Amino acid sequence: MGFLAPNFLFLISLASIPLIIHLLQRIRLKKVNYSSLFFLTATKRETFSWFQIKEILLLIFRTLFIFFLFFTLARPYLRGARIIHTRQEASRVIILDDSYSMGYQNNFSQAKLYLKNLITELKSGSEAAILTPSNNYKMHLTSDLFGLGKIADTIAVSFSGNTLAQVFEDAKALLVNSSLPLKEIYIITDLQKHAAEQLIDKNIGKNSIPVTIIDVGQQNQENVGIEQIALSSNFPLPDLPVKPKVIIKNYSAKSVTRSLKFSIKFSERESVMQNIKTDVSLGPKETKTVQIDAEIRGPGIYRAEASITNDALVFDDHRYFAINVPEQIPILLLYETPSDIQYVEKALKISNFNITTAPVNTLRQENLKRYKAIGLFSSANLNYADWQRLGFYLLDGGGLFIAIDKEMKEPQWTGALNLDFSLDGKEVAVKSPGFITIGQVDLASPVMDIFKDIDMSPVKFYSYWALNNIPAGAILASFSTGNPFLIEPQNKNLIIALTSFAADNTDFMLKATFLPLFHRIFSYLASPMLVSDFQVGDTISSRVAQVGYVKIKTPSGEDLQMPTAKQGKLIVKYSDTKQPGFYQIGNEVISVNVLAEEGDLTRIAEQELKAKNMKVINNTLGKTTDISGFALALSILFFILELVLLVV
Amino acid sequence: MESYQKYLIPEVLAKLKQIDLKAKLVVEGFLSGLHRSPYKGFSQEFAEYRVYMPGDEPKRIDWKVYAKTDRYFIREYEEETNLKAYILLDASGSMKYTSGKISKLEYASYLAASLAYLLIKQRDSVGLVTFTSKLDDYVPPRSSPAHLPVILNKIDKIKPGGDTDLAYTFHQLAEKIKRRGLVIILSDLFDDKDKVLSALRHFRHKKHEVLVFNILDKNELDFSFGQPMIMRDLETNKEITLDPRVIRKDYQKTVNTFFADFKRRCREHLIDYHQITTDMLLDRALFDYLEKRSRLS
Repeated sequence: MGFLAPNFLFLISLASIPLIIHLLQRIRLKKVNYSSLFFLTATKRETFSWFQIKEILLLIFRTLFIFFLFFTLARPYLRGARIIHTRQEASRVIILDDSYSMGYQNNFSQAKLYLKNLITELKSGSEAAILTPSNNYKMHLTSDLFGLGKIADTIAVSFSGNTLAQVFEDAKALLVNSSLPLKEIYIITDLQKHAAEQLIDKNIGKNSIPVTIIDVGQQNQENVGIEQIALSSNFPLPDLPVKPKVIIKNYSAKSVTRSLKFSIKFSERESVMQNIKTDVSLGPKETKTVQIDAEIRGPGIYRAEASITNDALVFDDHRYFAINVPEQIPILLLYETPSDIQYVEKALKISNFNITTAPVNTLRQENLKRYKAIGLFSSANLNYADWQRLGFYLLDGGGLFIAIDKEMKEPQWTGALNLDFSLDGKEVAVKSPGFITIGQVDLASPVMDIFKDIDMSPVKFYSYWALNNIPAGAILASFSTGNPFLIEPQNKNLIIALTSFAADNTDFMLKATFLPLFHRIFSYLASPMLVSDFQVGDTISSRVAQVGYVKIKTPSGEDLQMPTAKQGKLIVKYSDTKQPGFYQIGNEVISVNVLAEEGDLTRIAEQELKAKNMKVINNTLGKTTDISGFALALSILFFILELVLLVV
Repeated sequence: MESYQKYLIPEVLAKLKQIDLKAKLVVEGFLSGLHRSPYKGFSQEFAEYRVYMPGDEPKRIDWKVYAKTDRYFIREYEEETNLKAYILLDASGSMKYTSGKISKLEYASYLAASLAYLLIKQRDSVGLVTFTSKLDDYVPPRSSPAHLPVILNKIDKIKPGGDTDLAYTFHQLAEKIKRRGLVIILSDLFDDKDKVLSALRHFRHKKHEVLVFNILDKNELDFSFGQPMIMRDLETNKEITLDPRVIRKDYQKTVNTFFADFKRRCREHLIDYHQITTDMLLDRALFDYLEKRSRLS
């Protein structure tokens, strides 16, 4: 027998309290004056009576009731057959999958039983370590197996996603320095398909260190999770009210109904804008979007929260969403001659953009931090230092639009922006038929999706810039020649137009598509600064104005963090985001959520793993039995017996 | 309940200080509750003639005197005073016991005072004897109203304590009381049954009428104690450890058998035996007394 929570074992000593009280009562008997012992001495004294039996039984039942109550708290379990018989000293790394999918029913308690079993059955002199995908327990190999067992007791399911493949690499690295001849890796997991596929990719079946997978998952695991809270349109701008929507996914193979609760609060007055409760029916593997009738319109901070009930896996049943909408979105438009931006400025002014225009040669005098996005409509004369400033601006999360109108004075500009392409060095003038039009448009892009029903082909361009190579990222639109027109480099909040928007190069400003295109581009580039949605474990950061410790409100309370100075800015970085919920740094509210995909409990077929020479032990072998329930039942039984005896 | 009758409740009476007042209130309360005169059936003696006055009952007119004098006279009688009553009050340590608000001795004192008051009111002679293992106090019987404060004062100053030897005391008294009368015993009777009965028979032998009030606390009959405890004897200070729950049934059986046998044997010897617990109203004992008194007259 073993205990999952042996820390509670000391409480079992409390079971002696009834016995102590009984003995104390015997020692310190109450003295009573009585008229005469005349009849008492004459009374026949019984040596044993029902009362004495009753008292002894009461004492026994009371003691057993307390004993089993605290015994239950210590989570006792019975060991079955051993998983593996280790006859020699071994170095063993046990990877315990603590991703939130393991919180399904009793999967994790089973996993902990196996974990304890794997530690306790090691021969003396062995060493072991526990690794978890949540990385909450950074550990080296230790020969203190007792201490390791105690740590194992404290491990709980995390909110993190599954990163078994990466943890497997860490496990291998740990065993490299072990001097013991027998090295082993055990992975205790629920064999979720997406995580198991990572293991297959690692080809662990042919690993030099033997790897055993212990499967604690169950067949036909059912789960429904909230995949996302999103906005009905992409841009939560002050002049463009948007509505939130909740996306719920049924990962199971049968139809289910879940009760959805949604609330959205407007932080400025902490007023609840909408509070909804509705039932959502989902077919097998169906994803459903529930549109919420609440408009996000004015500036302020919006906090939305959605949850579902009656679900087996609760970790993905909550979702948080925060939007920080400023009064006006400040943008900067840079030009060489005012005519470069004449039409763009007019087009953007009708929206709630706070537009600042400046000659491009004054870039170094501008405080770029003030702007959510910058439009560079004449970039040819910028020097390397200017490009570097723009590169840092991008790194800080700002959005940048560049229209290439002339040959760059600084050929290394792509390097300063950390881009993986270069221009071919000259502008291509279109000779026949004299102009080109817009050919293909990537309608899946959030920038271009409004052009589904709008024809862009009438727009004419007379010259463009060709690329030496196709960059990684998205080509939002191409010319009719096939050359890229608008590109969005990968992982950059940057859009580059490979042409000029001057009146001598295009008639675009005369077309109906001109205004929506630039509105979209600048909204898109500014929007990452508005919506903040992070995952559990991410490092969140916010710029603050004050020096000294900054208070951070977290889902579990409050924390203090010292900001760090970076390029003249004070930034607070906070990485203890182990819990989903709202985090507030200064005035900024950030939502942190679990990885939605982790809620997909679809399992990989065991045969698939065995075909890759992976050793899998399933849940029926070496089974350990949690007897906490049985102990609790005994406790209740003795309590009832005590009550019955008291009544009789 | 009429205002006086509340003083029949021992707990109410215990709140009063003066014993004479207690006795008066008990008796008045008792009498006010009676439907018929307690004096009915008493033998009466001629006192004097009185001129008939309008309003007198015509049947009381002495027609012989009318025949002689041609005037209406009615006969007036004096109540007979020929009973000597002895109240024997047990003041041993066991009488101190109480499980509630009043002890057995307090109850017995109220009863003794009330009986004395009633007897004097009826112009009977009443005496008082208090005893423990021996005779403590002896007040000879008198019928004058001035005698009542003497008796009440003695009752008020009783100091309980000591062992009991009922048989010895009763034998002593039986020899001491020469003229036949009514012996009223107020005791818990915690003593050797045979010896006590032998002593009571001694009273009967001397032609006394005997009325025994066996005063007990309810707890002494029920023995309703809970947890194991040490019990200390109020007379001897001896201690025993016991679990009352274990011996309760046997104790009850022993006590009931003891007093049932006592009662039966009293009846055999024409001794009136009444068991009274301290939670009972005081009029119960007074009724028993009057019943006995009416049989004597």
